[in-house]
Amino acid sequence: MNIIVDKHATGVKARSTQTIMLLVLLALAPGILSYTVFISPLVIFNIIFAVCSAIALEWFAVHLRGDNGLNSIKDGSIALAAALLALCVPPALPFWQLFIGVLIMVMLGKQVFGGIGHNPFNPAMVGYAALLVSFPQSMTFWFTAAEWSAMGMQKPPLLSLLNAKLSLDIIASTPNIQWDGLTQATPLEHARSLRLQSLPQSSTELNQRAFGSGWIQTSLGFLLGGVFLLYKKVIRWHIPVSVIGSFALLSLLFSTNSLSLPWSLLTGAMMLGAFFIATDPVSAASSRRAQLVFGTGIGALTFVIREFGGYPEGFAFAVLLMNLSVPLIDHIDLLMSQRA
Amino acid sequence: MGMFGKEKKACMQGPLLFGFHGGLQLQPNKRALQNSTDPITELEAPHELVIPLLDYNKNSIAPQVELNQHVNRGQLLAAGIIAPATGQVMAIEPRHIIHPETIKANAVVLEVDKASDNQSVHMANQANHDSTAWDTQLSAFLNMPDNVLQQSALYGLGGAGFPTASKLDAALGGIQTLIINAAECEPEIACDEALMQTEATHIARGIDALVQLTQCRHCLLAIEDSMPAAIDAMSAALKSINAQVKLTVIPTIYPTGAESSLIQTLTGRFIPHNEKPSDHGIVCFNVATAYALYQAIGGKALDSRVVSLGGSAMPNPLNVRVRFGSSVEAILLATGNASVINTARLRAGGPLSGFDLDTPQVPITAQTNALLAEPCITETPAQPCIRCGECSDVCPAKLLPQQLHWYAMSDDHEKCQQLNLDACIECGCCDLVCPASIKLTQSFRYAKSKAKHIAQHQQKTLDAEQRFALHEARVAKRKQEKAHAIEQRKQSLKARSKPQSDQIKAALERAKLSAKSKKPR
Repeated sequence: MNIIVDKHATGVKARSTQTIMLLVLLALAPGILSYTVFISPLVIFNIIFAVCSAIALEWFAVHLRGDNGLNSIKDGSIALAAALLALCVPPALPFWQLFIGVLIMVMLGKQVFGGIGHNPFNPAMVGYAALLVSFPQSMTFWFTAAEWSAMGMQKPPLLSLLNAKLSLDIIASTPNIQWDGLTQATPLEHARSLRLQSLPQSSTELNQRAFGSGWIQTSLGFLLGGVFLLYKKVIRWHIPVSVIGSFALLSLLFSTNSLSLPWSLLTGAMMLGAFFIATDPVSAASSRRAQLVFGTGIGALTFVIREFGGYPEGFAFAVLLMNLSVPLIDHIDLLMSQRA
Repeated sequence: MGMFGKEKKACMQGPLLFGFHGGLQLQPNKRALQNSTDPITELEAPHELVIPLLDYNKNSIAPQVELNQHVNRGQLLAAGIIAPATGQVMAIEPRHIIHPETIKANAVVLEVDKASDNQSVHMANQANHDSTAWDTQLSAFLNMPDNVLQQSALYGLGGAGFPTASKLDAALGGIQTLIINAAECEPEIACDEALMQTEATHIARGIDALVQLTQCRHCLLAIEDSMPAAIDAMSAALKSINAQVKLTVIPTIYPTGAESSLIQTLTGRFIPHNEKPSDHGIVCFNVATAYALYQAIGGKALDSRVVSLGGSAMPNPLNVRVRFGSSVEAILLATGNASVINTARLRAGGPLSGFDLDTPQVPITAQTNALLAEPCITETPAQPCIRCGECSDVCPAKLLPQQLHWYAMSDDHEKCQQLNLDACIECGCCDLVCPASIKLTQSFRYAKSKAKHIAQHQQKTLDAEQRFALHEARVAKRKQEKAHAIEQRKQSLKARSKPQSDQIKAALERAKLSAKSKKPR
């Protein structure tokens, strides 16, 4: 076999797919750490559970296709997708529901299209969207460590929460915990319900609540990881900047929400999404120019869904809708570069 | 025009460079220069030379010599091909040529007559040292450039091997900028750098001749910053002959040596692949071509070149000057590198732009700038593309290699053309950065050759159709002519038969009349 380009003789060693995935996982660490400290340590269990089940399911699916399942697992892409899914779902989500999310992510998000590199949609977001429409109650069921004390309640021990996560219905199985006061607790959700009920919105109160919830700290952790990825050139600036930029611009111009702009950027999934989810290269647009359009679309759709939609957080749907538009964006980009 | 204003400023203020899209900084790793004391070692002509009868476009051409004929060094073997040594034509037969695929082409096999060949070397060296004759030779060349260019069979020594005469023809008159390419950004290749270290004055004279011939407004000699010795030698040589040449030091970024990248670096102009630099008033020559021109003006035809022997498995790396037609095997034997023939992977050209050789029994041509010996390796199997876009970030032609790869592998030639496949210069940068180890360049070569094949097939079909249409027209014409002839014949028969019957009638009349007139008697 003739070697056309002799890489070995040039001494250049390209970063492998596996290295890229491991770097992204590493970049998630500060975000995961602050999530664990400020929101809920349950997220660690969710990540471990999701990653393990995703690896098993991926091996199984690739094996069914007649390929070497180990090779497919080794690139680390499914572990990364599973970790991202686990970071998006509420910490108290029952394990069986999380498993369904992982199953849909691996099978319908990735393997039906032929595995890594072939999926048109972001697999983690496919799993998330499926969970959100299937289990709306538990998928909007948030509580944070800070809120337990804010509500003047005793925080239930981790073990009993974990035990509850193993059951089919988390609320019914833990009668001794007063869940009611804690539901619908994300700052975004709170601001949205105030706005919908036309209740007076005090911006300082909302901002304080946002900070107290631990979301700001967690988002800053993800931002730190994102900067690390930019520095390591694992991702380029085009997608995160256009996602955050378009969202911020539209919020400044049209937002009816009294949550101040930095706060609305740092609550919800914006930082995790802009740096870790929208930047998935497989399902994003190809050229850098097309990526700017892709990112702008995600930011704008996130704003529209947050402002007018039925869900407090629209990032997942925004990503999926823009994934759907990628072939069109790429095609128009090609036509434009031909004309130039 | 504004562009040239900028350039002029650059000439006065020092290097103002524009750079080009993408590219990679590679370790120069020039073993051929580092590991030997002499920059260039002259090799004797081997026992046998094989000269393929192929022109620039790789079309075969007819030989102008016969079997067993004695030929002198510099004598024409075929149009544009000269004998690199004195000797006897032993065969004219298909031989392996230096090519990515192992293919044969008709070639003249020359048995070198060592005694008389050595004499020719000696005479040529003497002619070269006679520097007082240079001015007269130069003015003779400037008066009648075609004589020298035709006799010395000048080819570009860069990579494409374009005939210098045709390039100069296209360039004469409208040239603003003459660029001398001394960028050797690919690892392991050191032939131009070695040449500049040893032959700086002669190169400077060759460049000067090009400047005077093309009457360009300015001339730039581009050398990479990784060759300080060559820069010193050339700047001193240019100063000593007072040549109107601006030496420009450029950063060592692969592939600056590619014509389009170099033009972009120096002038800021991006020349699309379907346009020639001369359309923009620019012409590029390799620095070794300038040296070959110097020699040609002095009466010495182009029949040898410097080849870098390198690679991590080469025991004795060095630069050698070898005659065209010397086999790779003979060169390795003569330089003490025979051991690599069976133990290593041989490669013609650099690690990126070259190709592996299946057999060492192939002859060197004007384009062979390096011979590498690398350890045999098993390549990492390609993984699926994750569309990371690293490849388009390094592509000097601003293409989207990952999309091109996709369409190249699915044989979608229309889409490949849309994505500008023909603009790919096959530099290999995309392969180097791909995290999935995809062989992108290989797929582009495949797609290009396939497209060429399809175009040829279409042309054949078109030709056949045309031939058929012409045939039909001829048949129809013949039919018509035949019908016309028959018709005419009929007419003429009728016309002839009419007078006949008239005559008969007249004769009958006359007979009747005579009968009547006879009666009364």
